[in-house]
Amino acid sequence: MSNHYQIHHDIRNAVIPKNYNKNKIVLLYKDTHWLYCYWDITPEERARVRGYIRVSNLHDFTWALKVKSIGNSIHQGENSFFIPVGINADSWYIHVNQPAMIYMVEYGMLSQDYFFIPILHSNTAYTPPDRESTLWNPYFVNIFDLKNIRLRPEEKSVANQNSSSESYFGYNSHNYF
Amino acid sequence: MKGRYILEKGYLSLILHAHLPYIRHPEYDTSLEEHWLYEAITETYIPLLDVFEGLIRDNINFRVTFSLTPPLIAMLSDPLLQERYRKYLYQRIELAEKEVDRTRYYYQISEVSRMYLDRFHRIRELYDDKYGGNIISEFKRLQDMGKIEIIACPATHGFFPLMEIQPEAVFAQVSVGINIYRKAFGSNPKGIWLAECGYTPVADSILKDHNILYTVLETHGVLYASPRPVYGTYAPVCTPNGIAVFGRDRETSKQVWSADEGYPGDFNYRDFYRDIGYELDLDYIRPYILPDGQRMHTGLKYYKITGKTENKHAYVPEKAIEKAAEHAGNFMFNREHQIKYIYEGMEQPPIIVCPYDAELFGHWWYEGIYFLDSLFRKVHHQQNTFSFINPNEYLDKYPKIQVVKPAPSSWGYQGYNEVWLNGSNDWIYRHIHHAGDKMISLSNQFQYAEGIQLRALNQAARELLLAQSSDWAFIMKAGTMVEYAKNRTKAHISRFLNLCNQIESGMYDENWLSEVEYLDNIFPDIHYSIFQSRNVGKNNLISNMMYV
Repeated sequence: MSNHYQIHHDIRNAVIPKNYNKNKIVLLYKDTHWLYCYWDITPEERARVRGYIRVSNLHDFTWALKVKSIGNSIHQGENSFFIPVGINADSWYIHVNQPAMIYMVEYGMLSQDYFFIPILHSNTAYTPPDRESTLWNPYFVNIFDLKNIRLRPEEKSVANQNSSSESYFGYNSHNYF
Repeated sequence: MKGRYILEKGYLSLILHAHLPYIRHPEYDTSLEEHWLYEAITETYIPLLDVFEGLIRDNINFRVTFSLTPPLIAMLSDPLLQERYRKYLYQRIELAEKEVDRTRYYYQISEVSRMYLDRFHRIRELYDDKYGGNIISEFKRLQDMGKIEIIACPATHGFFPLMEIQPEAVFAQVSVGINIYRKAFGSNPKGIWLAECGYTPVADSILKDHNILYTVLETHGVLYASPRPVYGTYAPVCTPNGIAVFGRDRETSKQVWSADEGYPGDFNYRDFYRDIGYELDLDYIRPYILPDGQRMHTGLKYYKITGKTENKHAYVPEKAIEKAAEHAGNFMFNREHQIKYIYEGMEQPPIIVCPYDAELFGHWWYEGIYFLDSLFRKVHHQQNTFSFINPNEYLDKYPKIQVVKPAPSSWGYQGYNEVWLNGSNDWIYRHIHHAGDKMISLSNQFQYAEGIQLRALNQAARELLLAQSSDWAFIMKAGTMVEYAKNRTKAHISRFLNLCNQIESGMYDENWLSEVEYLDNIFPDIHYSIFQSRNVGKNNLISNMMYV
């Protein structure tokens, strides 16, 4: 490419910040079994949270993600697991065992006995189903009759509230907050 | 004999998705990326229009659904790019003339070089004399004749599954895409092509708000829907908001796309990679490659695929065209049997939906144009089991369809978001989402901007939309032109952030703004209010409830 003499905006010179000095965590799904999250956290926020912990206990805590499966049409209730991520990480790929499940993550500090202090709360993300639905109740409509129909929120199923999800690290959390 | 006189047992819907990212670079005299557009015009868009014209002339009954994306519409209508394309075309004619002379004693190669010269002359004649440089109006003419149906596409090919946390951004992509469509074709689109077939339930009510009747999803987007679709992908289903969804047929996509088993891999077809731009002496080829001597495709390729060998044989156009006709016959034969078999188990004739990238035909698969031409003619003359149909026409005939919740999906590798979300490109989402948050916030804050503030807000909307283009993440993953894709992402985000600073501070640099408006001049009629939260309303606040 040769530069045009009149115009100064060369895309090769563009610079953007590494992060945006805010406190936010975002969760996305990659596929049926993987999530991706990234976060920004300010040094002030880190210091504020550290302030809750006795200095002598600080070495027991690590920065971690708490991954929560929230539910789907069959399973209800919350199951979760932790992933220690270290202070320098700002994004993470998370393996989850359940397709067709809504997840959310929290970023915070985790003690050795799984006491978790959440700081950032993500949006929810849904891992798509990896197989055909087990629901067989076909309902047919005339597409042109649906012109003015809008979806209404549905009642959640209460079936199987005691089901549990398998966690990636094999243990469930105890969130005291 | 014709299908129209006999009750068909089924239908075939061919959907061609034509798209290129916005690669207009007025700041450079020549850019490699603009050649992507020139090659697609020369090898795909004009040859396809020529084929359609020939079919109409010969009274062949055919139907094609075409999606033309807003960046492509903008570039094909852009005077600067039209002028540059003419220059490119004349250069190609000049090169082909030189090649005819250079290869005159080379057995078989001389035939091929003459073929290119004839082809370039034909393209120039059509582009200049027939279309007057305006390809879009030719597509509109064919749509007005009822032969092709053109559907809309999101503004910059934004990939919705990774935008679903910002329904306002999804709304903006759809809204701009439909406005561009209306401006180009003078009507409302019936259907929309979701970029990369990327489906998220968040888009459902937004599509409904724009009166979209149907869209197309990857096979498992329909097969994994809930409740289970009774007819699989052989009949459309509809979402809870009443958007009809057609599922891609797995068998036909494999037959054409598969690198090993698909038709384009036949040894008689032209080898895409053996281009004289990479092979001839640099001094000879220099005027037809980049000014800095960087080699590139010229469009003149003399060898056939031959096999898994570096010792390629000369391309024989007649044999390749013969093979394309043979493959078209095979494709038709397989569809006849597929449709006869499925028809027995259905209460209505099935529809086989075959979406492909338009650029596959002609550009990547040189003989793909002949394949399509031959397919349309064979289906018209040689069978009466099925006929071509547009999705819209199928819904008119068979409007009773099953209500399901389609599964989030895409037509990318592995069927979900992996192509656009992996180690090579995941860094972009932090910036794109941040810019999205800022844009939504500014749009909500400044309800009635005017003057330079309005210009800055509109330009910020353009920059964000350009940054959201799925192409940059795709290119980073593909591993070619990675720096360009990274730079484009950074450039649009950087320009966006600068505009935000100016809007928030109220201190504008008008010269800078004018320059950016000139560089990224896509969507001249855009209004930043498309990012306002009130557009998406409450329907989208329950987006995740729709999964449960």
